Amino acid sequence: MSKLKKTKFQYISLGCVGVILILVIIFLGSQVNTTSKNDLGHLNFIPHPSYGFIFSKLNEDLEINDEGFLGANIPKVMSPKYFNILVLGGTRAFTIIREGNLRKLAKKWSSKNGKKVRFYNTAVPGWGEIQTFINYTLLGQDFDGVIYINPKRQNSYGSDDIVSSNMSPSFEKLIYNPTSYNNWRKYFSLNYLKKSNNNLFDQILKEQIIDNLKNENRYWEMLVFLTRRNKQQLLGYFEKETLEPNHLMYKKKMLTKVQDLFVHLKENWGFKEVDET
Amino acid sequence: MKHNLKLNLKHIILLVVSLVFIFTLLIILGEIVLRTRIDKLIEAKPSFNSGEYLCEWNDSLHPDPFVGFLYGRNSFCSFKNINSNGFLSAEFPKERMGSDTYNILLLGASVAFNLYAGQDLQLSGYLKNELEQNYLGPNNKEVRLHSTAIPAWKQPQQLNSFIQHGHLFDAVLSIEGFNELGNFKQNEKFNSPQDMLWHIFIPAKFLVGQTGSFLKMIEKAKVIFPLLKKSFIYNSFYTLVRNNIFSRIENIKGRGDHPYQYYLTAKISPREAIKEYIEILDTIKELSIFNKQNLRIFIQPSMYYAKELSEVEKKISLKSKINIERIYNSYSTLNEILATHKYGYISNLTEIFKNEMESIYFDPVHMGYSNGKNLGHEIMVKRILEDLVQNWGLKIKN
Repeated sequence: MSKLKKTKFQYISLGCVGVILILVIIFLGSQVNTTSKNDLGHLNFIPHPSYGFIFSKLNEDLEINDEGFLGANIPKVMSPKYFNILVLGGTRAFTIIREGNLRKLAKKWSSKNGKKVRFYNTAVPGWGEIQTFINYTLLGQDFDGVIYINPKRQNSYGSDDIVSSNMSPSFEKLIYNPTSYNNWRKYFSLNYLKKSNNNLFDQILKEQIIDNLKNENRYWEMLVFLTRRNKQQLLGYFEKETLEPNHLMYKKKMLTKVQDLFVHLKENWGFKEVDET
Repeated sequence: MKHNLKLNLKHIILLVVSLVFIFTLLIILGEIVLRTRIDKLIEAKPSFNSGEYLCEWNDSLHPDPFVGFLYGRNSFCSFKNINSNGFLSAEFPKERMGSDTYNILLLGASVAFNLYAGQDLQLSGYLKNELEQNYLGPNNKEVRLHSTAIPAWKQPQQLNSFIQHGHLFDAVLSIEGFNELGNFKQNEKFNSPQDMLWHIFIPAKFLVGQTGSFLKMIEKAKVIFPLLKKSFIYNSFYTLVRNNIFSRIENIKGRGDHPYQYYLTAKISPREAIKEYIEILDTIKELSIFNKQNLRIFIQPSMYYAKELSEVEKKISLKSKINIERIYNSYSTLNEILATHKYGYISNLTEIFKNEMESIYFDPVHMGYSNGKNLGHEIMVKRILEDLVQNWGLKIKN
């Protein structure tokens, strides 16, 4: 009887330990990033005080520059030999640039006054209007031309995503847990989602959609204003016709493939094809 | 022997259960004690000028993706009167049009914050009081001052907050310059983007310091790193302290450069840094033209430039760890640049205390009280108000 009891007790103990171990393994496993390399989920981001997040250089399959963007380093002083173009945007811009091999294509083009063309990219997946605009004010004012590929609407993430992200990230959590930061990037993309607001959900549901529509116009109008004052060329692409079509640079359709860009640059900025012979 | 084994297993389990129970009980008891003494604790909420309380200043902050950090709200360590945008300010107007008050936005860092925040934080609030009580805006509208000033901010934080909120105001004034001119580091680069954020979050920095030596051991294991990357245990550990490892791996791979080298903190020369600083101010000016609003930017003074120090200030100066030469050179360079260029919207207050023999400062930039009054704030605010009357058409109330 005593032997039987002992065996039972040992089995129960072993069983408990086994369950705990399985739970620990499941927990640890859940911490590992299992997304495939083909979607954007595998990309590594790091926090940034002005943009929310940028690329980490740990993305070994991508050429990430010193500013945390895909592509070559942005020079501090723009070379007058080239027609320098900055590409602003979010997921769509990033995807087009990554898949379209813009740098290679640019070698076949020249500007209206015969200069070689150079593209610099600052598009980051998940970015919204405010990030692209801040980005322009900090980096973009010395470029000859700016291509703005309107990022996805901020409110398009929907409330489910907002709920599933951590609504109140403490700073310590943020810096110790960059995996969570990837989850929070949706949250950080929301212009009007202020963490300090007590009635956060009410604010999102009632005000955010209207605010975003207003601000989409505002950021675009500000960009048009600044690029004009800086005597820069501007080409904007929008998914929907939300803006008054009173700007010469305005395009009503979203850019879907990079090859179309040359046609638009030819029409709007007088670009030419270089005779390679 | 068998009997002993049986007893030992039981004892171990009992011991573990007892320890968990005692630990839980202690947590519950601690929670009860804290809650019953909550009134006392609330009294000990953060004071801007003191580190003697339960909450450090950084505990009152909250991370923000566009400005780095702002004030948290409704948490134990939050300041009172934080608005829904995370600033110590009255709520911002929803719309600019149709307001029956002349709404002004104050940008800046700690000096601007001091001039706005009032008695609750043992600060003067002198600018807010003077403007709202004694001045009228155009069309005789009552003036209302709002603020996005947060201590330790430096450009481009003000620019970013202006981009988000500036369009809601009739006029914008900024008091800044010291953090931009005094805090950039010559020939230095940050090791990681997080450093820029961590410097303000002391507890996080402290914790990282404790784990630093262990992380150094991991750094050296770069040969087995690819294998480690596939390990569950390593990955969970990596998740916990990953950001620290991030920077260290980058250094191992010889890729120490990072995005922040672009910012003011990593410029090679004061002239280059100041040129970029003024470019940021110019952007604010351009956007204020777009918003059709008034703008004035006041460059704040510092103890180490154009001030004959009193005996008290000399003692403070001796204790200071700040790079006096760098501040002096930056201020001199800025004055050179401002003298040769016409920046109509910038008002240079760097020499405002040139003829003042009395003590003004209690540190390199903040002005202290003496005999119940803050002479520095009074002189500074007087000059600012004169400027606003001249440039914005503010009127003194009868």
